[in-house]
Amino acid sequence: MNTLREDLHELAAHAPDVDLADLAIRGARRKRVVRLSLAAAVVVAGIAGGSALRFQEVRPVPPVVLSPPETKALPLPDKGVAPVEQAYRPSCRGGCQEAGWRIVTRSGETFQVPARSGPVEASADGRRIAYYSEKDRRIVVRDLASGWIWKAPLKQPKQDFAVEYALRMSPNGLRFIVSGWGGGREPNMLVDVEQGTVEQLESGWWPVSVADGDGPVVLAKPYDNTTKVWVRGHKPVTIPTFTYDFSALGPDGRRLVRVGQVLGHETPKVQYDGTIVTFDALTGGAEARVPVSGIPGDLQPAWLGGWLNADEVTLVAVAQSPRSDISAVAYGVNVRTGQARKLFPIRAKGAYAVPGLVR
Amino acid sequence: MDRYEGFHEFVRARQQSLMRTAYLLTGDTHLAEDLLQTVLTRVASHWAKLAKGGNPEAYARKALVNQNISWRRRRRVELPGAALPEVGQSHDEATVRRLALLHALAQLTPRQRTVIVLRYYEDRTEHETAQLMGTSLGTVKSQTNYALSKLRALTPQEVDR
Repeated sequence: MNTLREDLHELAAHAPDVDLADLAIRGARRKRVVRLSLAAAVVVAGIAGGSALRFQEVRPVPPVVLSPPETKALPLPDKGVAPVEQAYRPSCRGGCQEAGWRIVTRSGETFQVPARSGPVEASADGRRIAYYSEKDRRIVVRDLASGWIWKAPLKQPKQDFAVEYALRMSPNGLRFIVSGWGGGREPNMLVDVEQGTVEQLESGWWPVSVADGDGPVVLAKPYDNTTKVWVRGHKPVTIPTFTYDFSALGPDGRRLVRVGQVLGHETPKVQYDGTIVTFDALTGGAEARVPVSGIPGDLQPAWLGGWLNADEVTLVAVAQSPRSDISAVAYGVNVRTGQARKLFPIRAKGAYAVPGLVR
Repeated sequence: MDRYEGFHEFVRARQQSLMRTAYLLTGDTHLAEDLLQTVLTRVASHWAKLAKGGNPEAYARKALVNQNISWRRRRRVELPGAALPEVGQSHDEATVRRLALLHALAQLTPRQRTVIVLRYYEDRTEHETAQLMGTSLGTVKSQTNYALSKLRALTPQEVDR
């Protein structure tokens, strides 16, 4: 163990020299200015016309010369909401701790989701969302058009979502897997809100996808250089790489797609190689690798998700550098040809959710 | 009074130590810098309270660990130029071993990597590690076991010596 200790110290010695004090203070000042500006704006907005004018004469609101704060979002209406394009947590400016999740609909509206902590996910068609309700202490599924709400028959403390977690919805949103790692409980549960059932899944397996009704559940377990993929009810198969980056199971109940990756020779790390690999999840065979085209060079395929049609899955490509202005873009990619078509840019650099995405 | 009085001194004294931990946690110089800057900005935002009677370093270290875990997916996108920097002597036994260790660390989950860094780089007890990660003692034990098993498989010379 001394070798490990010594080598960790040796590696750590390669950390770059930095001087971040001024940058940190500038960042803190910027947050403070925006917070104060927001507070002033709220006060101004709360005072009726004439009073507001007098207030401004005495003490004009200082112009915000920095990045504008996130605009306010309306609360999610009870019903009549269009399908979700994406969900995101606003970036950390002006008191983001309380900002919670927002959804952006395909018709371009932005709404505040009544969920402050935990996951927000949307079914692959964007018509239903699932989120953790602190009041009910459980995941709830909401149909955006009708406003109908299904409450999970599984109570969970909010501590379940203070650690790593995953929430994987079925295409119609009425069945989901909720998993967690790092807390005391580490749940891995298959929940059906329509039937009112909860099933404990095998521990140590990571949720890939779940179909509607009594359809297949796909789990994965990465090892050092291989990954076991298990369509429950069949024998697990082994694929020759370490990965978590799968699509949902195809409409044919067999095809699964993963993001292609290689082990660098000069840089000993796993790197995405710009391809996607389709394989048979029941046999592990029939691998077909295609390069993804139609994506700008500074983005690379990173995550896959639900199927948009018989041959196309959702793909999110991310910027190769965290300093890039673009964080990520969602595409539909044809698994036979690799041709991608742009769907929409991701709004947040931080936490976000795309309907049906497996991540 | 300057709202950030004493902050520069704190950063000057501790940033290199924090940067080393950030580098081991992320395995990438750019991400490590981003991570530490994010954390120090948060420390600066709370500086008035922390300087009065808080423990800025403990706060920063806890934030470092937890912010990194919450960035887990982003970190899996490996960056160009993220290789081990030149060490001056090429391909000797120790260099090859460290390259293998860097590779092996990249294969660990964020929490496994974190327990390895906290337990074997910072020499923290299991209890301290659990407190920093906001998790249970049992999870620290199990994650340490998983991580060491994986390291043993990938770089036996690191763990078995």
